[in-house]
Amino acid sequence: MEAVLMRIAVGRSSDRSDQELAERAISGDTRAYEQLVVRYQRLVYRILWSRGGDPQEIEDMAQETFMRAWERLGTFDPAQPFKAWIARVAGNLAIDHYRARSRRPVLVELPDEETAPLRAGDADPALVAQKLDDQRGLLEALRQVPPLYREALVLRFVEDLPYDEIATALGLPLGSVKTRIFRGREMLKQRLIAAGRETATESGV
Amino acid sequence: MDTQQHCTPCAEPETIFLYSEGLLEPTETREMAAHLASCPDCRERYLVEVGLSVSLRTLPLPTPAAAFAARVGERIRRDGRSRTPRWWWLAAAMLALAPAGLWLATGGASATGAGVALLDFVVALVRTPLALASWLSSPQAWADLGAAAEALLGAIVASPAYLATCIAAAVMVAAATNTLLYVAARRALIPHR
Repeated sequence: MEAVLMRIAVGRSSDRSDQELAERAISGDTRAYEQLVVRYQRLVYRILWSRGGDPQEIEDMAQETFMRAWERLGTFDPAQPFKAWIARVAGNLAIDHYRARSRRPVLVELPDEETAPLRAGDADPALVAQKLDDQRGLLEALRQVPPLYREALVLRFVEDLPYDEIATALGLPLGSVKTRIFRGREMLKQRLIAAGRETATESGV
Repeated sequence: MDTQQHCTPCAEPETIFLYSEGLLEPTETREMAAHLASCPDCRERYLVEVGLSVSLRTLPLPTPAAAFAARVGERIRRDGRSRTPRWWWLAAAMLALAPAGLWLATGGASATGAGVALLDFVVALVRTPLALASWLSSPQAWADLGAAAEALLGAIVASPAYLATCIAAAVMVAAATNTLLYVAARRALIPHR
């Protein structure tokens, strides 16, 4: 406890809470904002990766995310989690970006939640278990999951956001977040198994 | 499968997933724990859920360069894309629209010289600040504005309901213009890449 108080007293910016940094940033402190960027740059990168950006796009869009968030700090309530807010800014920026370019299908549209080709629990657990140590295979399978499911999975399992913050970040009710994550995982397992089969077939021929 | 006989009926895959995430209600959690203890199939599914979560946590996804945050900071300071407090836009819009509110009011009170003078004023305001300055520098403009104010005052004294209508109209126009100004300023300040 004393150590915590000491650190607060010394007041190094790395020890400040998100709320304090956000309050300073709102009043125009760019250094405080930089600290928030340091904390959440990885999260933003990974959201943009989930939405299908290539490395150069991710860098540009990540910068744009933080520029846009800086502009809009006036609309942010520092008492709310900054992490969920910046995640939402990044997600919306990705939507705007791809919509403006119309180069790719707009990523706001989900395949019909009810009729998407998924039979829950199809993936044989024994086969999935064999694949879990293969990081490259898992990454490749994750790449093949539709972007909005992939984003929910990344927020939950890679970036460890709690469900309520994911709901804020995605602008969805809590129940929909749970469903999306469950379905995303089922798709991931199926692709993991399918990729394994393809590799086996290729090497077998 | 002979394990099947131990687990009738097996739990729903979604329930197993929710359990692995600690998202079940306390009663359901206890029931699921008891079920897993006696059902190898469901236990296997549960272990896969946990294993998948663990494996996802360690995936090597892209990470930003070390200088990323510093670059963002520099860009904010260099581009001067500083935030303009929203109250500033509101104040600017209110100020710009005060004459328009007055014009609206006098438009109802008097369709003669005063109204026309205020219309001139609004036109000058819309055209350029220079035109506005030049218009305001003529003594006639001030006389007309004075007449307009007098007409407005007369109408207000005559009917408080009229005053309320004027204020409501001015506020509505001000709000609309404030929004337009804000959007225009944002577009000017934040070019789309």
